[in-house]
Amino acid sequence: MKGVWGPVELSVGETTHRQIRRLRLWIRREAERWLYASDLVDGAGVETVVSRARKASELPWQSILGVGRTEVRLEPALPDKPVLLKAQKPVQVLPDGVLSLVVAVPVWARLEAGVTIFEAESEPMLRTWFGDAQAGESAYAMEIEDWMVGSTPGKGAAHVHVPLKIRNESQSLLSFQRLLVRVVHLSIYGEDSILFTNDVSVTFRSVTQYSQISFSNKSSLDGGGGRLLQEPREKVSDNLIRRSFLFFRGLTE
Amino acid sequence: MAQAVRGLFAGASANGFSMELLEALLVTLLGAVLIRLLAGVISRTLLRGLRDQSRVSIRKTITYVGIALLLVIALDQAGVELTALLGAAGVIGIAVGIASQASLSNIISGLFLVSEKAFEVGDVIRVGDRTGVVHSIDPLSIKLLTFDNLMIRIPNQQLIETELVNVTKFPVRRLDIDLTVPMSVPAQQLIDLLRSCATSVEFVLDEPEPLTLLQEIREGNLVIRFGVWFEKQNYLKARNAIFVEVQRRFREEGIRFGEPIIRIAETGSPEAASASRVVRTDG
Repeated sequence: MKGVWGPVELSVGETTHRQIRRLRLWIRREAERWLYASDLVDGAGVETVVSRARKASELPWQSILGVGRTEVRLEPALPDKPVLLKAQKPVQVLPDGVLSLVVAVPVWARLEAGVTIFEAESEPMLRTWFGDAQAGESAYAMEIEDWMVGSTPGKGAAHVHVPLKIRNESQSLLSFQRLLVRVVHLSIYGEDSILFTNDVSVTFRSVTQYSQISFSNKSSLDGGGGRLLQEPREKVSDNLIRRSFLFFRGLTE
Repeated sequence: MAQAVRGLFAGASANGFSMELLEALLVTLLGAVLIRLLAGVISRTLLRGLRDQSRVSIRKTITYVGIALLLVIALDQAGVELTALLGAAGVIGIAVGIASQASLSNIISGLFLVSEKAFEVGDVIRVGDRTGVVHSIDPLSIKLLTFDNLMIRIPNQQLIETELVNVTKFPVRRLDIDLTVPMSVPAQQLIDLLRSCATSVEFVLDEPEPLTLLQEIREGNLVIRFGVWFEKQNYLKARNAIFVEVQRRFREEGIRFGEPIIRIAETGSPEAASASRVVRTDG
């Protein structure tokens, strides 16, 4: 994470260029203002690159005025909508069984100076609609190859790893192929080039009973040196409590 | 309030009739301000959780009832005999009622419209050949703001009797495009290409899945319906982007849009009849 996230320290006339997967970001400091520009490059597989380049006159610069003494920071963020995980095949969890997985969600980059100036996704995800066409909700879609793949986080600042646990406390087999993860309620922590969130657990009791979703204050991925980098986009509220007790099909169909 | 106003002028020595008129005027002015304030406060506090449309309706009701009461108080203050006035008002009311049947019909229609919840302020609706954003819902009519910035007043009674389409009622919509391509293009290739187009456009939703429906064979060409879903606020962006993408991908793949094919058979001799000429038009 070092060198990618954190304060942007520039002297007057200097420009920095950062690339996080497909997102390229230029930040420039001038005497009276700061400037930033961004674009998306084609193709995948580009990992985080930190480099310094001189200004490119053809870039679509945007001005930030009034920065003054405020620090300009580049911070990681999670998507602004829930993420719908979609697997090729359904997973089946036996009674009393637990499915544990770590989902690597492409990070968003946020430029801030006390308030958010700009934010963009580092890897555009498909837009999708979860629920029926009359009263569903907007989400991003993420295809995963297998429900067990990625149960240990990889290195790199381009993804935020979300530890998920699904417990089957019913007496029947739990089977699902999709799962909606409300990442807007999660915090981001950082440790040794890994970005991760607090734990999410879903307890399934039966088709006819509400499932409980809980967002822990801790992360099972924290090796002890995890530092809070970003608060959740949406804090715990009545709305969240209401949404935390749902029929399981409300998260998977 | 009337007593308070009277108190202000307790020591005044002006002629009694003028004083009563002045008091009535002040009561009206102060009362009107108070009613507006009260309606505003209620709207911002007690009605905060309600939909815009309901809030505006209740606010207007409070204002109208308040003004009616205020007028009665002001007339009483001015020394007008209310009993006689109310008797006259009954007769006048019948006359006005007969004369204002259309208005009453609009008011009643407005109540039905509000209770039906077919639309609310801010929705995009289509009435006949007019489309626009609902700007306000009033007792007699609704005001529609069209996309070329015209304000159209549509009487409530007309709305009740006309087919009305609420374009933005639901959060997602589907845009259907009918494409005509030559029969020589394999249908499966076309379906795959169109699905790929849908995936490439940012504002098109992954789910509900895009629709690809082989509609018919028309004038020697294949007609396929391509439907993509998008969130209602992205209508313009999605519409433009999907057309641009389809055009770009068709050009890349060397697929031309179909032209109507008309076969003209020349009758007269068997040879001529068996031979036919194919005429392509630009349609």
